[in-house]
Amino acid sequence: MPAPDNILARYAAMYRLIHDSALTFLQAWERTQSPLRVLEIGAEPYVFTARLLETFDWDVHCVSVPPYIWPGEMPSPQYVCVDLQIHERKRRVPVTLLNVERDSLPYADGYFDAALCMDVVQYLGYHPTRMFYELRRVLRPDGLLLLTMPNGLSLRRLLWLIGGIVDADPFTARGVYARRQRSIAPQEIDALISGCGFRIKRFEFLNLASLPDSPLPRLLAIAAQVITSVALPPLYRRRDYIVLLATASRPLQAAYPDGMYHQVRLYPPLT
Amino acid sequence: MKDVWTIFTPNQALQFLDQVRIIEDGVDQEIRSSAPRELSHYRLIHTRTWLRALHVIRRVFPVIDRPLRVLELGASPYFFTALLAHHIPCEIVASTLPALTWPGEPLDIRPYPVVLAYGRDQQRFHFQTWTFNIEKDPFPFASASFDLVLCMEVMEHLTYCPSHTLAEAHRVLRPGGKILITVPNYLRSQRILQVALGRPDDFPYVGTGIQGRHQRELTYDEMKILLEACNYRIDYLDVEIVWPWEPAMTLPGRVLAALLHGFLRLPIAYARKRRELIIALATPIGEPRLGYPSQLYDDPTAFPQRLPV
Repeated sequence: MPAPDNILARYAAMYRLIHDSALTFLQAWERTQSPLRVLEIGAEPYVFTARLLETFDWDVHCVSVPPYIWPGEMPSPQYVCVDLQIHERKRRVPVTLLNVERDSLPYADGYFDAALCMDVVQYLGYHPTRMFYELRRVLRPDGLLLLTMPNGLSLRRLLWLIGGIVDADPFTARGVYARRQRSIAPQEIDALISGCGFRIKRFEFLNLASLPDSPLPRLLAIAAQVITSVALPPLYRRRDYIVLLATASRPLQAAYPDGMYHQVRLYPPLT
Repeated sequence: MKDVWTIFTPNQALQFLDQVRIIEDGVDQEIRSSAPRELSHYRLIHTRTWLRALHVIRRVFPVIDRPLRVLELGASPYFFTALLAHHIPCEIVASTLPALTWPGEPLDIRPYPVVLAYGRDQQRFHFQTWTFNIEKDPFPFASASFDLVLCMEVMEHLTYCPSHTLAEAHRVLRPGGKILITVPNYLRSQRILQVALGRPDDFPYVGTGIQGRHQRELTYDEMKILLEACNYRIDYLDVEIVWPWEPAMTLPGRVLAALLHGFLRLPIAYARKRRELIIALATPIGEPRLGYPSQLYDDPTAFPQRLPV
């Protein structure tokens, strides 16, 4: 079901800075590499997919979770296509609808040159290790992983909590996976990605989150942006977003970092 | 005339809970029996919560002149079930979600037998636990069939629609019945402190499934708005300090914790709303209602507007 135009516009505005930043990172990378195949995880509503295709002539494959459906009712992976208008040209992008916490990615080992995991991991509630394990598997050796996510330890979030502002998402009828399920700290994502066979090349803290409309949250968010714009490490690490580049340069393995996982023995084995 | 029932002291409760054994659990026997250390930790963390819950229940049911009909949602691993059954005459029906269940996964909605043993003489207590999804499925019980619904540290595990749970609980409560809810306070000072110190603050991923971890904790204000939206009259609502200190806490950690606890006990709303656990007791009024307050739901009209039949 395509998202209505007003929702798309709101989404595009909310993520504009994050998408700009991701494209800048990818352009810097593209000068030295020439990827042919790119996998975008959590691509719906395909706003970034369109910008990606406007910028690069890449073969983009998407993975999304079907909306308005309980995870327990999701069928096995489905293969569909989405048509995007790129400049004067219509581009058809293959999309696999699946649950990255439950399903393996239906691609061969080393199939992709790059994988994009933009604002996905905070929406998972059970098994991000499976997603990173699978991403590592389908990336060619030294293939690129680009990840963006909110910094769970940002000054913005701290000021909001002190000010009594709830930063947790409300419940949404679009389903469990349309609501952020976990705030993730920088050290957690570092341990998780490094442990799953990636070598982190760049780990950047940036102020990219959109400003809310309500007066107090907006004021505190602006204050946090101003304070953390100072290039001192303790403040730099408190910026509101993380942009991370890693390469598939270590052996494939599954990591369950201490403190981030509980009752690991109950997880199904990854194959 | 019958006397008001008495409640364990914390030490008595700990001793009692140490002796609670799950003799039979038709749903998750294997998983429970393979995690004795986790169960022990779970008991330790929740003992004061359960005692507070007993005190709140006694406020509204001080004298029990017939067995109380109780529905305990998310009851497994049944420690509070044992405590309640020991304290007052009651007919308990429990609900649980099998471990390793995906949210919304169709369930075989039926009762399973559970047998607990407790006390020095390992007295047996038999009851049934039903498997159903409390935020999706109609509760498999007749309307107005319970005096008390317990929803203790369950709501934060819900992924999609706590209003369904509250509306169905409303339906199965008799007029004048009560719902008791406990839920961790999202804005608790420990979370703020963890973030300030640069430490992860959120609940870990759990091998039992998405619903094994805290999905969405609530605040005092959210709890109040949600209950009122779902047609409940609030009898009691507070945020309390109930969790034990970490045994491994260092001296500076203990000093900090003592200062924090002193602050949290101040009689000001800001301090109170930064305490640990929300405890609410409420009475259903009018008809069951699926209320979707905008603070908690981003697109209320897209949620179910009527309870499933």
